[in-house]
Amino acid sequence: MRMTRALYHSVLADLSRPHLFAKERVGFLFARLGTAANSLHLVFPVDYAPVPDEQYIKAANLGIGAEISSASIRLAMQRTMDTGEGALHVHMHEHSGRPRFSRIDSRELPLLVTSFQYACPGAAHGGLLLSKDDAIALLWLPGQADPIPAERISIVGYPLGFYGRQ
Amino acid sequence: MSVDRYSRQSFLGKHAEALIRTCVVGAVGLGGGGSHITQQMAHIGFLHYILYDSDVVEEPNLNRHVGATKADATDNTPKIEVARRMILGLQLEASIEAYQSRWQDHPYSLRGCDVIFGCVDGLAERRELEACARRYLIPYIDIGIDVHQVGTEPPVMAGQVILSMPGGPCLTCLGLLTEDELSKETARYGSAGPRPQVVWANGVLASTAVGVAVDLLTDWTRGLRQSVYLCYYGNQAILQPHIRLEYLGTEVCPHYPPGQVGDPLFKAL
Repeated sequence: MRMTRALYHSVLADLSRPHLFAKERVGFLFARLGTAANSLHLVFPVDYAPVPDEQYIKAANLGIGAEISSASIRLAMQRTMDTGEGALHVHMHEHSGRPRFSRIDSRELPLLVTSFQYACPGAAHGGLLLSKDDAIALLWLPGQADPIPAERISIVGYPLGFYGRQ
Repeated sequence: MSVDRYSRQSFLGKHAEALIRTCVVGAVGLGGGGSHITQQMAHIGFLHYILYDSDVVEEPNLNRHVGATKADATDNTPKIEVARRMILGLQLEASIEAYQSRWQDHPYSLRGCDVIFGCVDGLAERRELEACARRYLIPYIDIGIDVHQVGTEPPVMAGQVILSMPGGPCLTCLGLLTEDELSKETARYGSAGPRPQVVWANGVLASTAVGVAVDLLTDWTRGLRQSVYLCYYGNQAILQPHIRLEYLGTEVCPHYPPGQVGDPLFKAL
């Protein structure tokens, strides 16, 4: 996965803002696909849509960092359908070092991606999880039922950054 | 890997060696400039190379082609093989994907690079290479040199090192590529002989380009935060930032809009 440092900073800035009641913020990145040698898939997030404050729901389960309304998911689905771009659910765990998807993330992300795949089967969808200085991603490539971890996430700018490297 | 080998570049940072070892570097053109670059990258510790050059070594290359020998000129050794030999001589475990062709014939490999060096002749070649780098979000470092002579004045040697960063100003924004010059280029390339090149000027530009790449990767200076456009004035042995950098606006490059990345995407109307 490759994205510009400007886009990465805008995502970090948004996700770092406190919410009135949600423990963490959520957003969606929209990404295009590229192909390289040896069947390597390249995923290029090109735009970020924060989930507006009013689309967060007070979660009944205290273990959930953020619950968002179906409206925000529908908007993301509509965009993938309109543009052909993939949708990546993005959130951040407020610590340094390599983050890990929680059990709730691992349970909910496939359900969300299924919706995105219905809306735009030709794109790569998934989830991107940031920490303060690292990131990992799970990606469902077109036509694939199972995800693969992003081999690495390149932040392209000054300086270059490489996250999630195996 | 020997610790001692890199002890004198440990100031690059504690993660520098790992970053350098895993970075995939592309070099298009392995002649006067590219041969310096591959040699230096191998010395520094880079292990992953994607290389392109369709040419073989000939006698006129020996005035500047680092690593090429008299025997290579006699045997017409492909330039990619000279580069491979030089890299493997320093890095036994290097992975080298080398094509004796134009990069356009094997573009998929280039897309996997983390940084691309362009050491190509001509403006049209630069434009194509930069367009590929932009589309696949890869920093592109361009070097070039030319020699002009007007009337009875001494020849003037000039060159450039440019870092074209996705999202930032491109070679067109920076004024290196103009439609006028592109249309004229096939008719001329300097006037001091066919494609004039000398080893010392190539060395200055290639070394500077490698320095830019290492800084970009390791952030050791913590100072590289904007476009690089360095002009080389060979007659005076001066390398300095181009004045155009002072007048760049903050607007996004109009030639490569942010959304135009990845494979072309077709949608039914």
